[in-house]
Amino acid sequence: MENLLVGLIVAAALAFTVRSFVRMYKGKGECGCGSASNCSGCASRTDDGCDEQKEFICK
Amino acid sequence: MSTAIALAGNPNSGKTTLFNELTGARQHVGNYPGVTVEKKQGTCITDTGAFDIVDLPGTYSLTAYSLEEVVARDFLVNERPAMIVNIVDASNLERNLYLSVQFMEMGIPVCIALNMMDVAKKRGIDINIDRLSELLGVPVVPTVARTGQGKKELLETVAARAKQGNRALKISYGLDIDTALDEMEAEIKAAGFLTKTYPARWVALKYLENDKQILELGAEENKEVATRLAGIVQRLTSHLAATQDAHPEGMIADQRYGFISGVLKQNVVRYAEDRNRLQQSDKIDKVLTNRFLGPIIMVGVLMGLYNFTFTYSVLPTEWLEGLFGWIGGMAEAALPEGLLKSLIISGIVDGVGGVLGFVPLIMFMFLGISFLEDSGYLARMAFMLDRVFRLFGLHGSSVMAFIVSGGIAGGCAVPGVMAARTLKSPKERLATLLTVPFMNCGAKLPVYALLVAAFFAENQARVMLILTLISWIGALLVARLLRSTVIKGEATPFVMELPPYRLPTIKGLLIHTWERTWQYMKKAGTVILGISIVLWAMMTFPGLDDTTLTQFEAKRSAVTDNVSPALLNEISAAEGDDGLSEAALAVKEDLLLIDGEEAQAALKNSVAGRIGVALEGISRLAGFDWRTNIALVGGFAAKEVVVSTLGTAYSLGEVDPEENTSLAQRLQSAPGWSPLTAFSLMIFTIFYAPCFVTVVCIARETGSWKWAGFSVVFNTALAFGLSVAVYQAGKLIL
Repeated sequence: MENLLVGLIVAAALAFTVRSFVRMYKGKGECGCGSASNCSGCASRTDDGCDEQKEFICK
Repeated sequence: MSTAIALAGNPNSGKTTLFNELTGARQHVGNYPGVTVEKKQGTCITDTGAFDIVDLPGTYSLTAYSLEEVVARDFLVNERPAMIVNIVDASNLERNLYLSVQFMEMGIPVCIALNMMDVAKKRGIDINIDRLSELLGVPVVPTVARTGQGKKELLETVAARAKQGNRALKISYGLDIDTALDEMEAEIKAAGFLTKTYPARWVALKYLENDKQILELGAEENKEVATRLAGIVQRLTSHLAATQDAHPEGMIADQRYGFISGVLKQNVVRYAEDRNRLQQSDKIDKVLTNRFLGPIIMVGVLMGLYNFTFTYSVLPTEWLEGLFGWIGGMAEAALPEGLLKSLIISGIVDGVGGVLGFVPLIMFMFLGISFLEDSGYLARMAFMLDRVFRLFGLHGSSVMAFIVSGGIAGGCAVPGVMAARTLKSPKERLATLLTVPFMNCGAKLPVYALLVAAFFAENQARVMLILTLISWIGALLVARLLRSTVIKGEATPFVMELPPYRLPTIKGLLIHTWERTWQYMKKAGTVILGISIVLWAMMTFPGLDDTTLTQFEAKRSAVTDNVSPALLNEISAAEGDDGLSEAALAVKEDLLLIDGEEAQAALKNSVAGRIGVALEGISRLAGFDWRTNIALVGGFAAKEVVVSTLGTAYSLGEVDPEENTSLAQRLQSAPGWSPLTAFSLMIFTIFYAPCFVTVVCIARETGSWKWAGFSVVFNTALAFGLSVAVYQAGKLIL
């Protein structure tokens, strides 16, 4: 049971990591580009993705 | 239905601040030109209506010289917003209105937001708003974006005037140019040449300004008309060269400034004091950017920043370390021995906890950087370094890319790589792209913080300063090498605008600090956590085979068989070492030694361990053992992983599980580690392959995986060469 749980956690972590890297590769990583250092986890892409546009709704 | 408006203006005129005020967004605002390279979009709903607001990159003109200009112009032409809200710096009216004039020439309705009215007032500049609006023929609304003053009036004006349309401004450029313009305009109108997208006179003007984008579009649209227009331009150019020794482009700019000057002279602006007096900023700059004093002050500022960071982060860092130690201890006591316990303690608590433990340090560092950035000092650093950069074949615009990437430890190479887009020369841009990853990004910070705390506790700030200088010198030397070999080419000129000094607001500093710290924490809690768990599995499996396990069991039996059952009972009943007899302590030590050997053997036999061991043959030259190798391989995913992997690796090999020591303490006492090893590892971390995301960015920005691959191979080879040199030289000297 314990081994199964560990296996599930590792598999989920692996899937999440792979997904994160695929998203980064595609430039879809979540980010707020345009500032000095809050862009970790995103890649540049002008046609679609993180650094093109970001939606904000006013208060 | 909402009204589409575009915020446009010169760099550093306060567009992003106004955008944030209008939309409630928290886009980062930098007190240096060029913060906005891409356009950003937001929505604002008020009593006067709903607005779709786009924040365009800051530009000085609408001629397609740079990416910002192309992005801004393409948006205005293709999207045709209902109105351009042109943010104009009231304290620099003449220069800012140059862009306004170009907007008005395009025929899109313009509303001028006369921003930074407070600064203008302080400088004794009095502007007659109504007169300015009357002369330009567009609404003008005074604003102070920083405080939100004038925001409501601005939106009301936009709502009222957006649908009224606007006639394109027609400036006289002198008889020669006007004649040519009329001829070209007629030709363009007759042929319907590009008129679906652009006004005819505007196209003619762009032909005279030699605008490459329009020339290319024109050639694609109708070669015959394009050739005829080029003929008119050629004729005019020759005529102007012969009669006035001038080019049409220069003449057009002169006439636009002339128009602006004419407007301003009509009682629009009044200066309370002598206009040429030294402004406060200029006075400060006399000292801070002085040729000799400036660099010394800059090093002093960096030293001060690092001192501030390390001094004030000590206590909260210790608290966090204590918290993670406590969590580890609780898990140790509550969970039964097994894989789950190992995963939670070694993989998560010691791995991710190692990275999260540096949150206070990151926070103080970001606070300091935000202060320098918001005050305007960062732009001065760029200004001073520009002189140096040109010597090494880089461009003045490269400086900001370097600073954004972590020129002052704590940036990120990804926006740094993207900031290189502002460079117009492809070769200077490539040299910048390939060298910005050498800067000390926020992800490298915990690696330095860990090693500096463990081995250079007395000189933390000084070592950080040395690392900063090494990264700059290394990056510049590599740039020189690249510019002299694989990317040879001429240097292009650069003029940098220095924004005035401003006292940062507490709110602004706190927001910037929090945003960056939160990004760090979020990354540690998501991607780094995922990688840590995967690496824990790679460091745990396949484990030891039965034969080896039996051998360790036999070793244990050899110890326990020779002692009395009473002694064994004493060891198992005791909590810690308290109250144990000398004989029991000796037996316990022997057993722990065997446990440690077994843990080490299991780690070495794991998938990651085998990779680390395989690399050890070479890495030993730089002082790195197999565990460091695992961390460095993991660091390619993200540099913080170096810390989390070391945390897991040293936790899995922990001899005494009851001893909740920090990773820094573990490294201090681990065999093979010394200040020299730590320094060699820090040198390697500065220079080795950029993280995965940066590599992807380099590939995207250069349009080729060749240069991305080059950055991985070249940087790693360089890093290894330097680390070996440092380690071997250090061994000889020490």
